[in-house]
Amino acid sequence: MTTYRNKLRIAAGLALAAALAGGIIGGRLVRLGEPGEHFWLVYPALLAVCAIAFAACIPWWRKLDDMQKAGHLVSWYWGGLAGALAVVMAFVAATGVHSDLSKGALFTIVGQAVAFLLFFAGWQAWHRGPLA
Amino acid sequence: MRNRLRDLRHERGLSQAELAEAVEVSRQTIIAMEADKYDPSLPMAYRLAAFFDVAAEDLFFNPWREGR
Repeated sequence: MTTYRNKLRIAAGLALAAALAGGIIGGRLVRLGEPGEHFWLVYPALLAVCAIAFAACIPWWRKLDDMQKAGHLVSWYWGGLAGALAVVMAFVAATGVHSDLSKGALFTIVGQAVAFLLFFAGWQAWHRGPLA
Repeated sequence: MRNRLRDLRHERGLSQAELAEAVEVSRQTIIAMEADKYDPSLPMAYRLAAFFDVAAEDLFFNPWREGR
């Protein structure tokens, strides 16, 4: 019988393999033509690759226990945000606000913020119960 | 949250790894709960209580009811 530990390892392996495969496939996709040349083909394809990689992580996420999930959520929220901001500040300080590097990093932060707000709104809506 | 997890585990003669495997959580989680470093969710508390066949409040002490 497969132990919980092994099930978790298999699920983590699947998630890691999917992320690596997604990176390789994504890398190939962006080299299909000149940058921006096939945007409406490459962009949805890249999103689809990301979605498949996300889906492959679901079994691993579902197998994690509460404490492991809390550890990942707290670390990703605070650690991930702090790391991203530190990099953005470094770009801004080194190249100025209007450089392509800074703009790209700032757009990433904006994307994160918008997605956060959407997910948070969805989370709140999902957990809303009837008013008594 | 103070609890009797370690005592009950010892009574059953289980290691932390064996208990973790039995209730499908990580060993680190068992260690953290025993050390009062992590408060389990209600489902996890009930799962552990069911495993030891005790009431949840006999395993995890309700801090709002203690001292009554």
